[in-house]
Amino acid sequence: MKHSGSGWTFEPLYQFSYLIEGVPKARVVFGPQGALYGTTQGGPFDGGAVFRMMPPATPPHTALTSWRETSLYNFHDDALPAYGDVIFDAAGNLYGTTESGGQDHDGKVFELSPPGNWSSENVLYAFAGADGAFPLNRVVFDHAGNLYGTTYQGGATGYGTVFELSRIGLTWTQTRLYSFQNGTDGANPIAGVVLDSSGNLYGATTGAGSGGGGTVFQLTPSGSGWIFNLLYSFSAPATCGPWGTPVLDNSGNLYDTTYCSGANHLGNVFKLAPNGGGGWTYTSLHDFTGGEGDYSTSTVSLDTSGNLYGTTVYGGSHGNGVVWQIQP
Amino acid sequence: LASGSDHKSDEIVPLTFQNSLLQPVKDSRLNKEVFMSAVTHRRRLISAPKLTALMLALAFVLSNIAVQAAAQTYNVLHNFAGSLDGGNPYAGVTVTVPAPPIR
Repeated sequence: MKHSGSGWTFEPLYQFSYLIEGVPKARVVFGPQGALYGTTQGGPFDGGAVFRMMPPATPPHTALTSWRETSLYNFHDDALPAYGDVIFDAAGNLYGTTESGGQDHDGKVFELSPPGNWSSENVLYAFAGADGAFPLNRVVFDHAGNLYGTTYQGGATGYGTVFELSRIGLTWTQTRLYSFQNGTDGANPIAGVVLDSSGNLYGATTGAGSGGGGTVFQLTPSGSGWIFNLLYSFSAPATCGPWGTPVLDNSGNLYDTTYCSGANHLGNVFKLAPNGGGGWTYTSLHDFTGGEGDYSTSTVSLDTSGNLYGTTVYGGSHGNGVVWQIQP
Repeated sequence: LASGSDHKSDEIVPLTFQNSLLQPVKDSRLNKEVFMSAVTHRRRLISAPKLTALMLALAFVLSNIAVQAAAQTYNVLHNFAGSLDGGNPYAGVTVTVPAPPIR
């Protein structure tokens, strides 16, 4: 989409087929060579794929057929990349998660390396249940090169985990940082985690919490481990909490969407602001009503003017979802 | 989608979720989402007209026009028609770095 004059123009870049490339469920991100990278579910082996889209050599970059799609890697197991963005390290290696696949079919964290090894998957870690199961969103690096993410299920009680992968040489070691208890802490995170400059992790769960509809949480590193801090609980049915990974602005405010929380239980866009006293202030920025969108699984994107952007799965004038903007 | 308990202790749960793709479907009567099994989901993916024509158009290019609203404003930038433009996006958008304002 491009801002043009007083409005926005929508220009499809590429049309996917479930049986050929698979269909994307995760966001595309810019990566090496100015290309867009993403994942699909489906594809020739039905396990999903990692793809790259290269822009045309010369502008305009807008015609449907002008972006060239390449499947970098087709998963041969039941991997199924889910909602997570792929990420890159400084060397251009690509990292992602799959909700299934791996030795125990409980999901995995994988790496693909350019330029000639896109077709060779390096499984950094395959989950086995007690250590977590079914990572549904992205992993994120800290400054030391450790990776952090969540699993939807598994862990000590089966209600999901926050995990760390740390590398020693060529070996990655998994540490379970937190297991959700299905109590006031929440349960079943779909969202990934985001790091602040102090090394704190922020994430969200889709269910449980005091209101039943998920939570937003902080994990703070300490000498003896990680301390769980509850930031907010949603009053809604289970699975209504945030599906998208929260984002932080430069002031330390958190933004995210919910699937079916909010005033109308059709999802909302919200902000959590630190209040200076150790607490957080919750503000619903927009409660979806249906006609302008409902049920969001989107993460929130920010521009430098403070505008927020995202999508809804349903609603809008055709009922097929919308792209939305919130101006501050 | 089975939320919660130890998937290892229940044969149904992992089978339901493990291959489910976590596909939400809004039930308009109940006004809540249900989650389909792998087989159901994949059949639906292949047969659903909206999703067979899923389009990728999630890269933003922002103009260099600085917009300042007096109050917080919600705008719909695009309504998906479920045809050639795609539909039912699960993913968010990627925002490119905007050009500096014109001075």
